[in-house]
Amino acid sequence: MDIVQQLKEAFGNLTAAKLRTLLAILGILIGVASVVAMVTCGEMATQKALDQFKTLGTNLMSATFYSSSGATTDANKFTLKDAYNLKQEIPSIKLLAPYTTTFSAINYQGKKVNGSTIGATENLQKILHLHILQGRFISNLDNYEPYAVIGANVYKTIQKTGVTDAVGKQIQVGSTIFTIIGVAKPWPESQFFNQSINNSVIVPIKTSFVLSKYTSINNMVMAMEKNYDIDKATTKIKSYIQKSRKGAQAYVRSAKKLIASMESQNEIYTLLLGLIGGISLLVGGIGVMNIMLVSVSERRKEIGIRMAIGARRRDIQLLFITEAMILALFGGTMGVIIGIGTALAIAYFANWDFHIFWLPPFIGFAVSAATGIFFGFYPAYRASQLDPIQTLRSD
Amino acid sequence: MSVIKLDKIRKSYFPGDMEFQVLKGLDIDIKEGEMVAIMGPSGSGKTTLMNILGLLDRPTDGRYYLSTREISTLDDDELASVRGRMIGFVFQSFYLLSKLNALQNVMLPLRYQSTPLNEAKERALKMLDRVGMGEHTTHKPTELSGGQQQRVAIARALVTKPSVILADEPTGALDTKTGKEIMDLFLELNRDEGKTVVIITHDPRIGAQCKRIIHIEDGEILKIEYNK
Repeated sequence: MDIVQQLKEAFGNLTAAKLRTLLAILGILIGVASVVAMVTCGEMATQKALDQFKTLGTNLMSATFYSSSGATTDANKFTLKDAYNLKQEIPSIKLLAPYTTTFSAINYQGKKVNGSTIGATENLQKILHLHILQGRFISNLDNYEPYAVIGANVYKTIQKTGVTDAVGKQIQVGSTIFTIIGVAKPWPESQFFNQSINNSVIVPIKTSFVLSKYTSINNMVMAMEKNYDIDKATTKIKSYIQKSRKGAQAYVRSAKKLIASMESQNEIYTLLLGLIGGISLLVGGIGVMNIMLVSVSERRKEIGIRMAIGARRRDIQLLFITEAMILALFGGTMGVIIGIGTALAIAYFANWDFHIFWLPPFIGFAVSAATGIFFGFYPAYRASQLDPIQTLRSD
Repeated sequence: MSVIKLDKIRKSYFPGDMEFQVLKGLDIDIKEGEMVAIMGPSGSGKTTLMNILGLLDRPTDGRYYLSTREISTLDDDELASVRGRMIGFVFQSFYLLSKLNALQNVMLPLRYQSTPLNEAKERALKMLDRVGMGEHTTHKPTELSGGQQQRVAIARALVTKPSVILADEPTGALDTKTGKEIMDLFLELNRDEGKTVVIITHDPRIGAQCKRIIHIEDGEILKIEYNK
C-alpha cells in the first residue's frame, strides 16, 4: 500500500473521531511543550548567570582576607604595601585592586541614602570595567582627598532633589563631607564582586582608612594574564598572604572555576526540569496508547473486513501505527511551538534574554515521534493479531 | 478444472477436554464456472465451512486445494494474500467500510495487492459500472440502500478477479424484491462471465436457482441435488 494513500486513510480515521484525536494530541502536546519550555528556560537561566562575565571577562580572580584568630589586628592586617608586593611576587597578575568596605550612614542634603562605602584604587575601574557617566573615577593621586564617585542608584536618589549634574555636589559619609567627582554608569551585578557598585559611594582607599579605624583591606580583585594557571595562582596568593602576615588567611576564587561550577549546577538543574517535562510526555504517551487501544476495540469489525479482503497482519499493524505516528508528530510539532512560546513568555516576565536553543525542540520532536512508535506499537500489534472470524462476527 | 477441492476436511473445537467435531471429513469438488449452493440448517457447520473455504480459518485435518494449490502449508501472511487475490467475499450485512465511499471501498482490496493507484481506480470504476453502481461512486455506504450496498460489496469482491466468489447469505438482509435482483446479478455473472460462485444459504428459494446444491447437516454431506 502506498504511503500517500496510507496517510490519507489514517487522517480520515483520525478526523472521524475528533474528540478522541484531540485528547490524544493534547496529551502529547502538553508533554512536548513542557519539555521544550523547561529545558529552554534552564538554558536561558544558565545564559543569564554567565552573562555577568561577558563584561568582566573570565580572567578574573578575587581574594577575601580573614584572620584565623577571628580578630583583625594591626599585625595581621593586609596593607597596600602588601598588595604591591604581592603583584611583584606573582607575575601572572596583570592588575590588582585591593578595596575596603565601610558601612557608615550616607546623607545627601540631609536625605538618607542607602548604600555602603568602598575604598578603592584606580585599578578597580579597569578590572571591573566601570564606565563613568559624569566626571572621573578615583585616581591614585587622590591620596587622602575627600573625593567620592557615586554609583548609579545613589545618583538616582540625588536626582530626586532636582540635581542633574552631581559633580561638585557634596555628600556626607559618616561625619565627613565628600565632594562628588564622578558618577558611575549602572554596573551589572556580579557574584564575583561582593559589593553592589550601584549602591556605593567609592572613595580613595587611603581616605577610607581615615573614615573609621576599623576599616581594613578585606578584599581584592585581580585581572590575570591570559592562560594563567588557576591552581598555581591560587596557591601562590594563599601562601604569600600566610607568609607575609601572621595568622592571615585568604579565600581565593577564580571566575573560570565559578563559571565551571555554575555550568555544572545548571546542567543538573536543566536535566531535572527536562525530567519533569519527560514525565508529562510519558503520561501523554500512555494517553495515546489508551486511545489507540480504544480505537482498536471499537474497530474490530473494520479490522475483520480488511483481513477478509486481503490485508495481511502487517497491513493492519501499519494502519494503526500510522495513526499513532500522526497523533504524536502533530502533537509534537504543536508542542514545540507552544513550548517555545511559553519559554518566550517566561523569558519576558523573568527579564531574561530570549534565545531559541535548537536542542530542546529537536529532542522534543524526536521524543514525540518515538513516543508515537512506542505507544502505538502495542495497540497496533494487538489489532494485527486479532482473529478475522471473531472480528467479523463482533458488533 | 477444479477451483476448490476439499479432501476429508475436518474441523474440531476443543472446549475443555471434549472434542467437538463441526466438520466430519468433507469431500467437495467445485469446478470452474460452477454455481453451487451450500445449504443446511443453523448449527450444521456451513459457516465453519465457509470460513475454511474463504481461508479465514484452517481445517484441523484434511487437505484443501484452491486452484490446485494446497493451502495448509501457507503462513498467515501468505494466506492473507491468497485470500485477497483468489477469494471474493460477499457478506449478509455487506461489511463495507463506513468511512470510505463506494469507489474507495471497491479499491481497497487492490490497494492491499499494491496495484498502482490509477489502475486500481480504473478497475474499480469499471466494476461499479458493471454492477449498476456507476452513478454512486462517491456515496458513502450510509447514503446507499441495502441493495445498493450489496452491489458495491459485489463489485469489491469482483475487482480482484478472484477464482471464486463466496457469498454468505447474500440476500439475507434484503427484502424479497431486492434479494431477487442481487440473485439475478450473481446468476448473470455466472452465466455471462463464467464466474465461479458459491452461495451459503438456508433459503431453499436461493438454493433452487443454483445448478448444484450441497446439503450439509451435522458436519456431513447429507445429499447433493442437481437442478436444471
